[in-house]
Formats: sequence, structure tokens, C-alpha cells
Amino acid sequence: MTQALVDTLIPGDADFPSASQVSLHLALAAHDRFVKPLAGIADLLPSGFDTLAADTRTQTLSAIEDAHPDLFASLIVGAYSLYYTHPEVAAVLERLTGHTARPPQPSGHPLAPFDPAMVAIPAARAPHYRPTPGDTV
Amino acid sequence: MDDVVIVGAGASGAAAAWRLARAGFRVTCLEQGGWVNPADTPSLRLDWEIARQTTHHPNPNVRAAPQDYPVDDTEAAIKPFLYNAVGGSTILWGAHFPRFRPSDFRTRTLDGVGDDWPICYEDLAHYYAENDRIMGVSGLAGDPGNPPREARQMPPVPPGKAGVRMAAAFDRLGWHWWPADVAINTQKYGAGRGACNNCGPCDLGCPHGARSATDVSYWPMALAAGVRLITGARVFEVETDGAGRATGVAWYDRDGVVQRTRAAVVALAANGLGTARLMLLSQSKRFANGIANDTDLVGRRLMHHPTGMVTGRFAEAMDGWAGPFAVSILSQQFYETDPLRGFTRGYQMQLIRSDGPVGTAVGGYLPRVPWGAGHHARFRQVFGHSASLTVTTEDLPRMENRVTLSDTLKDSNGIPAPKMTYSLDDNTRAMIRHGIARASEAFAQAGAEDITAQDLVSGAGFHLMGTACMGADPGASVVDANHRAHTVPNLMVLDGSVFTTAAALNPTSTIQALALRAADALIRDRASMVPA
Repeated sequence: MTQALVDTLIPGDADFPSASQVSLHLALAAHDRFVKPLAGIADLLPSGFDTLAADTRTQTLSAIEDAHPDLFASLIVGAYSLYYTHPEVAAVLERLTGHTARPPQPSGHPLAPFDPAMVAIPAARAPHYRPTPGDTV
Repeated sequence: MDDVVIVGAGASGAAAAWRLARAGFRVTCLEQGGWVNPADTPSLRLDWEIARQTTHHPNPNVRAAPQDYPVDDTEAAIKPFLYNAVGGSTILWGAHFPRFRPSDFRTRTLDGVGDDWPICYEDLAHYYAENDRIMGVSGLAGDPGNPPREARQMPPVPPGKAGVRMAAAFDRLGWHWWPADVAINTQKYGAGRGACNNCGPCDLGCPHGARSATDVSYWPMALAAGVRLITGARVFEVETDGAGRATGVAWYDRDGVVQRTRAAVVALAANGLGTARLMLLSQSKRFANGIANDTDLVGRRLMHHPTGMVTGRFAEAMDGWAGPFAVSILSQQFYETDPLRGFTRGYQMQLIRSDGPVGTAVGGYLPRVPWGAGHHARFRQVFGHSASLTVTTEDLPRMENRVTLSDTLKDSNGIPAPKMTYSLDDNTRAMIRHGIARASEAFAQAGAEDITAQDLVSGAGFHLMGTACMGADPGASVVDANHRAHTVPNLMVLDGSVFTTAAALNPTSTIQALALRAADALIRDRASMVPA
């Protein structure tokens, strides 16, 4: 059931794996902060949810989201967090966007030098802060 | 007995502790958090964005770490954003480092709103400069929007693709803009501190020490000067004698055992929330409503910087996930009062980059990416393709915006949590509307494909100010120009609580300049303030 749940939230496409293909349902169930919203929403699913047509599953989840917005939002945070940090998804992102499939540190990204020429126009403007009575600046 | 006990090891506590210890004062600093090892930053892990949503979330109610206290925000339009550790909230800040403008100290005289500070820009100018040298600031002198100042320690952080684009748009509109001053090393600077490598999530900590924080700037100097720093110390009362003078503080250690530290001077540096809470908790026969609260001003006049947000999405990639997350360029075109705009005072616009994959998906700068069949299509459209302008407004002090003690929430030691009661007034809402229209104009000028606005960023409770305000009139303020409580002269407040007004820009450089100045005043008055 939770497999169908996460695949309804994040279906796959030509580039990205579906949520269950990266075992998102298992990762959510194993996460100390995200297991509760997963279980909470799963408890609200009707029997046979996983056998419903895709459109009907979407409608069902939308109704649950409307009725339990905070709980559903917590599940979304967990689902998106664990999905987009999965190595397979990170690899897709790197291929599509150049966003590297590694932590930000220790390598970082190239730091180009600042070009002072870019301030030529604003630097030529007259001062426009307000003088204040009694102050010497 | 100590000469001075300081409560809080963040931006202001660190600066004052160093200054006083260097002058020979015997100083103890009590901090409820611990040291954060930069080498433990989640930025070194693949799950760094999960940490942002959980263990390193800026809201203490979400993070719920052992050293945190909960905040009752049930009646607050803006939610808290703070950290408890050696370094305080500089542990997770973006390190913006602007200075107040001269007019920020004179809002009553110039515009008939708020109150004038009992000090002026000139009183702080050399403290700003000294603080810059210690924290390490990247930026560019010559900004016509501010009084002349000395060269920054390092050249500016490069603005990135979106910054270049928006700067050109500002130029075409004829608006002020300038590279932001930031406490981030663009070159090696400071003892053991390296240069920024453009990684992005400064809020998670910097393993190179490039993004400044007081744990890597002031604290090594303060400890070398002899400050005794005690971590895991949760202060719950400023104690007084029969005459109402402060005698020291009572605190819980990590084992829950009550300890006491006596001192000639008690200095509070626990931010605009924690300091007000502690003052309200410190009740006695003399101070039934909390220490130094004869005027019922402690906790009142709570100010944030209410923030609107406009995000432009561009057809081409901006790669905004690279580069310090909060840093690029800013515009103070609409900073000062113009009666034709329909509001008093003004706002600053700051260009900020975009987010990582998780941050993009869960939303923040843009709405959450919808779940379901269209999820990946929308994600492709927005990820790395956006930039945002904050509309950071001046929040005028109002008595009904305040910190009190919660009736329902307590921390792990059973101490009542602070409660924030906060709403926006019509002036602020008008400012945000104006700012959103102008920021949208700038993005349109820059060629954004679509533009999305948020009226109020509810999580922007990162600047907590005004809850023990400074003033010359003891009947209308809590502390004097030297940060000493009018009714308890040996009680000082060092943090943003003392702000008379809020300005419309990030407060930390001003908080620290004020702390250095307050420390110098105490050094000057040592003979009368600290018995031999």
C-alpha cells in the first residue's frame, strides 16, 4: 500500500525513477522523523488503494490532503527529502542540470573573481542616504 | 565573584566577553548550547538537505534539539529562527553584514514615527569598523547609499549569473544597487580560517571557517584573554539583593543541578527572545513583573523584519544552488521615507540565490512543487532557474507585539517558554505591497519568464529586536545609552533587545558594534561598576 502511495506522489518519467524504484516507502518507514506521517497517511488510505486507477489514487490523496493538511505536508517533506537525496536521483540531477551528485563540501564549486567594473553605474550615483540633524556624517 | 557574568555566547556576548577580558575583567559566560564542530557540518554528507528539514532546521520548535527551548508561536505571524550554541545564531546565519544608515537612529525626528536612539551613527562608526576587522567582511567601499567607510577586508563574493542579470536590470531602471557586505571570507582571513569555496548552504556550517561566526572569530580571542566559558548552562533567573541590585544568575547545568554565579555586573546576551524571557522570569519582591520591568516595557516592542519575497524564474539555468545562499547584491532604492509611496520609512531588497533539490521541491522561495503526475515537469522548470528578491521592511515598534511567558509550554528544565505575540500593521503591509511591485518590476526588466510573490515569509523570525529597548527616558525605555537598566544599573543588556528601532536591514553588525561600545563604557566606568 505505501508503495502505491509514494508512487502516486512521485511517479517516474523518462529520466527520473519512480519513488518506489528507489525504495522510498521503505526509507520513510525507517526514518525516525518521517515514519509517523507515513503511517498516519497510510492509515487513512481506503482498502484496495493500490488497485485503484492512477487518477482515482490521485483524487483519493487530494481528499486526504484537504482533510489533513499538516500531516500530509509532513509526509511530503519526508518524501521529497529522501527522494532527492537518493544517489540514483542525484545522479539523474547531475546528468540533467550539472548539480553535482556529491555533498556541497569539501569541494564546493568554483568561485569566480568579482569584477569591479560591474559597479560602474551605481558607483557614479550621488550619495542618497539622508543626513541626520546633529550628526557629523 | 566574577566581575561580569554574561548570559549567551552568540554575536553580542562573544564580542563583549573578549573586550572586557582583554581589559582585565574577570568574565564568565554561560551558554545553554555547546560547541558546534565545523567538521561535523551536514554539508559534508549526502543527506545535507534532510538535515535542513530536521536536525538543523532553523526553527527550534522543529529542530527540538536538547539545548533548545520551545517557543510558543501560536499567536505570531512570524515564526522563530534561532540557534543555541557557542556562536548563537551566527552558527546558522547567512552572514549579511550591512550597517544601519544614519537615519535609522533618528526616525522620530525625521519621520515622526518610532523613537530616536540616544546615540547616533557616528557613535558607532569606529565600532562597526573594528567589528568588521574581527569578523572579516567581504564587500566594496564606495556605496553611494551609505556614508563613506574604509575598504572591506576582502573583495565581494561574486554575484553569480542571476546577480549579474539583476544588476543590469537595476541599472536600466536607474535604481541603487550594490554588492552586499558579508562576513564571508573570499580569501584566507583570520586565524585558521580559509576562503569560501562557493558551496552554498552556509546555514549548515562552514568546515573551512570561511563563513564567519563568533565561535571562529571572537571566541578564540576571548578564551585566550581569559574568559571562562561554561556550556550546557541554562540560566533561569537574575538574582537580586534587597536593594534591587543584580547579584548574579542561577542556572541549571547539564545534569539539571542548580548552580549560581555571582558577579558585580550581569550582562544579558540571549537574543531578543531569550533575554526578555529571562528578565520576565526574574521576579522578586522588588520586581514583581520581572527585573527592570517597572515600565512594563520588558518584552514589548518586539520587532522583526517582516519579509516579502519575489521570485523570478528564468528560461536559462542560473545555477543558484552554487554560492553563499543569502548573498549577492542589494538595493536600497526605496529605503528612506517618501510620502508619495503611502507609507513611512522603507525597505531593502536583497537578491538571493536558489536552493538545492530538496529545498526546491519542498518550496520556500517558490511554492512547493506539486506532487503527482506533473511533479518532475515542474521540478525541471524551476530547479536552478530562479532567483529571489527579499523585501526586507522596517518594523516600527508597537506595544502589542511582545514576548511574554507561555502558559502552556516549558523547556526540559520546566522553565516557562517564551511566547511571541506578533502581527503586522498597515504601514508594514503597504511597504511589502510596494516592495513586491518594485521587485516584480525588476524581474520583468531582467527578462524573467514568470514571477511569483509571497506577501510574508512566515519563517523569517531571524531578527529579534526591541524587547528591552534603549532610550534616554527611564519612563519610556528599559536601558540607557550604555545598555544599563535604568532601575538596575549593574544589569546590562547587550543583544538586539536594546534596539530602539529596527532599521530595514540585517542587525548583527549593529548588535556587535553596540556590544563593543557597551563594553568600552563599562571599562571606562570600572571603578564605580566593579568594586575592587
